[in-house]
Amino acid sequence: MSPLRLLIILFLLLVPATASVATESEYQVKAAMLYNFAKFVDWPADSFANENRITFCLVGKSPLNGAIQPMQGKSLKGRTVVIRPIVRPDEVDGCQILFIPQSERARASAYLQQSSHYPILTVSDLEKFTVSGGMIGFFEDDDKIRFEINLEAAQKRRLQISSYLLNLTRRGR
Amino acid sequence: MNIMTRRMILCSVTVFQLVFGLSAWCDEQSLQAAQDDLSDLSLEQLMQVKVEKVVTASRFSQRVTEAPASMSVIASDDIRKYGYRTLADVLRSVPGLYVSNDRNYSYLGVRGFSRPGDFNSRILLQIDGHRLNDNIFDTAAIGTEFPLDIDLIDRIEFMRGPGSSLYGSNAFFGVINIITRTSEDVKREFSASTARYNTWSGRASYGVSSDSGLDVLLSGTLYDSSGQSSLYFPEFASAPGGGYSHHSDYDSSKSAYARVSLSDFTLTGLFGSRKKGIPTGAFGTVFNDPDARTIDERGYLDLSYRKSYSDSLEVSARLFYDHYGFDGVYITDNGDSTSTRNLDTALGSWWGAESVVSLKPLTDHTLSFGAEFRHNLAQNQKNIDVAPAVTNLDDRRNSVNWGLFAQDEYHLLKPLRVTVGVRYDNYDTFNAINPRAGLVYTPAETTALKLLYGEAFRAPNAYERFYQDGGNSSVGNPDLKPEKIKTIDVIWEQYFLDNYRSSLGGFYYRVTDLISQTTNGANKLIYRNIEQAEALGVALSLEGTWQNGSKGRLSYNWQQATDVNSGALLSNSPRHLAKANMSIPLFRQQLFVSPELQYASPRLTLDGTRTNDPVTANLTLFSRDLGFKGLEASASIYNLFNVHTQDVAGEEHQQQPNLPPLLTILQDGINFRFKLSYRF
Repeated sequence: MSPLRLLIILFLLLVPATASVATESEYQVKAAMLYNFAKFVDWPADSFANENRITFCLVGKSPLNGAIQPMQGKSLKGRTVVIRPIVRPDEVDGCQILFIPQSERARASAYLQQSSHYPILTVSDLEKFTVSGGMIGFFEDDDKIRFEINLEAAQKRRLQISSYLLNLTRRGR
Repeated sequence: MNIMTRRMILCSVTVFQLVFGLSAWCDEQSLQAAQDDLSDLSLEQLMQVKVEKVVTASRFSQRVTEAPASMSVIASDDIRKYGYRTLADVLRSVPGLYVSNDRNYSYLGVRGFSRPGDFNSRILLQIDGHRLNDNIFDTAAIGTEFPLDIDLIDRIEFMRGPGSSLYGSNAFFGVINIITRTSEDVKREFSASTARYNTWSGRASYGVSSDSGLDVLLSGTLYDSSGQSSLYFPEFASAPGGGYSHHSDYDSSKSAYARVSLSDFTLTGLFGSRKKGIPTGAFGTVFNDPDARTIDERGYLDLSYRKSYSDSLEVSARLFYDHYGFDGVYITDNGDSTSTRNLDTALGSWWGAESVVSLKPLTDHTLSFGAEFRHNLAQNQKNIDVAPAVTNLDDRRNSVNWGLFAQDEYHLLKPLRVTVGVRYDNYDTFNAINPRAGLVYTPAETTALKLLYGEAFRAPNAYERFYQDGGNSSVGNPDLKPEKIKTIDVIWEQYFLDNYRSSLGGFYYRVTDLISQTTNGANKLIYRNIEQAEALGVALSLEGTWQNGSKGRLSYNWQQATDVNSGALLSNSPRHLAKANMSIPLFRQQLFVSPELQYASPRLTLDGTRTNDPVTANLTLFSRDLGFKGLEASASIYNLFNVHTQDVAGEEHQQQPNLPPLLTILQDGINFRFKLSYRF
């Protein structure tokens, strides 16, 4: 058997069957940050349809979908994390957190519009997200992931953002 | 591929399977730990994580898929896990590259091109953007002569292909940019290692970052190796001593690094010196005389400034002073059982300034402008015989060169980026203009198609132009012209199944006015622009990252590099290169086992004979924070199968007056290294 074929086979043999995980470390960092944001945000008491769950809604398909999978089922402030991919703006009802990736630039405003009816924490890595009414926007500075917060947008939806989170946005510049 | 090689492959399959079995058993723990890895970090910690970006392809930061070049990035994590000892070890693992070693220097082959005896002048080597190639030999030092301890490296960016449109001379086949670690990353660190042949090394580093913005990093390293106490050269069996060279393969070095940053300014100082014994009788030195040795010294002071004025303007500027010293002691064999002690020295010093401005005047154009100036204060070469005292060469030169470049990356359509750039370089005897053009098409975040064209040049260096030894064996050629290369690349990069990244590429290049060493009418060695070379190649690689923290890469390169005039294959050019790397966590993210395999097909020596083609295997066990926080320990076995690779020798190994030429140099057999590092 040719050595090249042998090398390919042994390489594939070593692949453990696996659920999807993003290789882009950029998204792994964003996914971990997204999960952490939820720890420092308080939703109004009546916004949880199901008391035991906190739902992260992900718009469309992006590398973050795979990166955030490991958080599924974890406990966050006494509630179980649920990850839900959605494809239409009218599906945002029931979400606590909504993530809009860069690939959904065209429909971002439609999602923001729909979300404005509910107490949903909107997060994205689109440019100028917070300026257009989004609550938390990711950006990169010196190869590190940073975020900025539009507090007004959050307060309009009765979301309480901890001062701890607000303080982090002023550091590192 | 012969039976021995087949057996080695089977051996390695068994090794891999054993390792896999072990890892599957430990899978559960690793799985949980990998998931915990990032989500357990606090937001402050997450904000300190650096995401994978490259700066070398366009001189500004961009994603690997968008860069108009074929790039490989090796992180410090890989350097630790695979137990790489030098930059040469790292480059040996990079797809498409191969390294030859003549027991004095390490020579890098890219895209099938590696001239025995050329000091990597066709590769640009930089540390944090500071050019390391010296102003006499244009050396890109990658072995123990590299003046920075690789423990201080954060990542290595290797850009394949011509880079002269941004970087000027020497960026012929590629650019290697070494990016150093931050002081917050280093903190207080001690490291020590030991290996076969009485090899020891120690390092102490201190890094501190204060709230006022003052950042300091200091580090010093010592390295010493006795080398094999006796080396056998079958070609020299008729020499007195029967072909054995004793205590001549010694290698010792010391280096220091200091960096101070305040606000947007960074002052860096670096110095390294390496002494190496010459066991091969190169340059006609008496075989088995342990006094023959070379000392290479490299140092620089660099003041750089970098600031982003807004989202759309970034300025960087640099002022530098460099020093290079070469000190060779050659005990020349006169051929009549007498010898002459010959001292061959070179001194290079230069200073310069450069500036790069990146701006985005409109949302879809990223413009870069740059200017570089270099004043070579000294390019001195000297060669003297000690007794009777004769000065064969005392050449002193100084020169000025400067360059200007401009590049535009036009984000034409959402998935389409067009890059065009050109650089003008002015040297004392010629001017050079080198353009580049590239199309990068990314129809999806996971796919990139690149079509690239670039030209590059290499200015003839002081050694090729002015070195001569009083007519004994070589003469200079001041009228040498620059070499030129034109390259076309087609690349397809694809991420798929969320775990894999694949890359398939093809290239064609043509080199004209290739400077080669030949003999003139009086049978003296002289450099002339006499050759032309061309090559065609295909590169395939597949990388995977898995949930439990395992990583792997498989690569295969095919290339055919030929001399245009004769149609013959170039010497020291393998047709096939194949490499496999795997890193598997055995226990959480604290213990890793990383095997590695490398294969290069036979290469032609200067006399047209073929070298062997064994498979080299390395294995490293690496632990981090296991037992003690801050402790990193590794145990490595290099050349596990104890094969004896033949590396192609150069012209300087054919100058023994009474002995046959050395066509290949046998590399070391199995070796090991234990290394401990403690950070607190």
